[in-house]
Amino acid sequence: MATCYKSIHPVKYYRDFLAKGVRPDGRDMQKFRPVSINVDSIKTAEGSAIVKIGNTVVVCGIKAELAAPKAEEPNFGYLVPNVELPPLCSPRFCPGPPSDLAQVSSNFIAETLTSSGCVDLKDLCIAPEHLAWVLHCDLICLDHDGSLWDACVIALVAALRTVKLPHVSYDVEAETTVVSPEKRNKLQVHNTPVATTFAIFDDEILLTDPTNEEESLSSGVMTIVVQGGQLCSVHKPGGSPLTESQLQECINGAMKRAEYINKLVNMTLESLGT
Amino acid sequence: MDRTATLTKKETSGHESQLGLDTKADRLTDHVKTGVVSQAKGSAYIEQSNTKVVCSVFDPREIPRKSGYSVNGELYCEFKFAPFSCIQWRSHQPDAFEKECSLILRRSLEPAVCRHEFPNFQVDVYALVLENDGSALAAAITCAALALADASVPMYDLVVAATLGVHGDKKFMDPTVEEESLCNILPPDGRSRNHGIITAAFSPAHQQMSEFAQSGAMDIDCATSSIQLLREACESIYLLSQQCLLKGVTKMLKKKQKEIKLDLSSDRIAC
Repeated sequence: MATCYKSIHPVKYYRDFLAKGVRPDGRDMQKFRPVSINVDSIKTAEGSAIVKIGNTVVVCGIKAELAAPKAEEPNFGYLVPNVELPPLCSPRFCPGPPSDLAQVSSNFIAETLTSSGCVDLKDLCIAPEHLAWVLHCDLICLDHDGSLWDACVIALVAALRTVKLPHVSYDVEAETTVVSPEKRNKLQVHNTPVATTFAIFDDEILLTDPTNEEESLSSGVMTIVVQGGQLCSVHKPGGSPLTESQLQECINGAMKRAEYINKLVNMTLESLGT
Repeated sequence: MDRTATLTKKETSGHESQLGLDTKADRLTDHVKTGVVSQAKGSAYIEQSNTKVVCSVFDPREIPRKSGYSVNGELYCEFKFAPFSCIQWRSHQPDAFEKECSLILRRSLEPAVCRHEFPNFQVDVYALVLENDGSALAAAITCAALALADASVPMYDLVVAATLGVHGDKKFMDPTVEEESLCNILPPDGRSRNHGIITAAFSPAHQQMSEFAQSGAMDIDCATSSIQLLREACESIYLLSQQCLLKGVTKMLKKKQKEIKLDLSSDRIAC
């Protein structure tokens, strides 16, 4: 009975639930789904993390390569984030070139990285003008059930914090590179941004940490990135307008979440013994 | 910390190659699980030592850009390495090797699927290797068959696969990446020219082999004895796969019973 009603009129089905102050999965409006993190589980990568928010799963693997820095920025290394939404993660995606959402996500993650300054690109330079690290940060979604960007940012930051780069010395005169994989240095991560997604249902109800279903039925989605008690970015692509107080409410929620997530990531990394 | 892990692994693999035939029965499928991707119709995850493969299957859909009628449904298979899964960083574009693996995956699964049950439709099968420590293709085939079964696609039998590396008179069951690259080169002593990697897929219920993919060169005796070894190895994986499916079904039945109870009570409230 309930399943029929849901498939015939999904919006009304949600409205009935929300009128009682509860969501169909049993959460109230401000409740987050459980988060679990696993770090350094992929040995072929220099750093890795798997993050699960409810059903949403994102894997981040970081591979390091050596390359010459750009001529206009001789002191900087490269940090190349890429979000992949393979057809494996949801029936919404087809095989072929990256979807629009994947490209928008990659761009969002790249902007978050640069604006939060969580990695100083100067740290990635080995010999100015000659040699620098390229960190390929590949984020792959294994299961897309909403709040994708939240999972991406947590996975990326956690993975960056596990990165250990081998010691490299470069002789400018002889143009030789010596890599010593036994000596490894931890990458300095200066800031830990955390993203939180909200969905706006029926122009007024705010749903925290929405599932895929809630995202597709809602009239707008907003992602807030905060770091260390500061607002880093607010991404609200169109959708229904929000009042100032609603926005403030979201920011407060995001701040609290960031504290919790950072604690969780710290605990996971400590348990690794690094 | 991870350094020591790889070091010890290297030592053990070196030790095993001295033994000649290494019987790492424990390495075969350490961990199998179905129903890992919530958005997919069916999915499975396999861990074989460090090799990690996830696979998902979706509802049948009409074959795109097809004008004629096809009596048998089609399988669309995609095999992919994650960019960080190998020693070298991989580009996002599928390369020739991945395309070849996709084809092998399709050929090994097709004989086991009742394709006449969904004419004019295709079932999508996607396999993603998160970490490659050798035998990734065999793991993907086993994983994909489990995902198909989990998606309730009609099948004659499961498909299980295993890989064997041959280097001279040594055979490596379920080779690691280092062993695979060793098997790709000609043995130096010149006594035996046998070298290569064999991946074979079996349907044990029918005692049939659905796919045999071999690289390198070896004499016929070596190939036949290898098939025998692979068949025996697949038997043990088959048992594990069956157990895993059984677990999945019991879990689902329990969940359904609960749902029926809930649904009945909610109907009563509605009345």
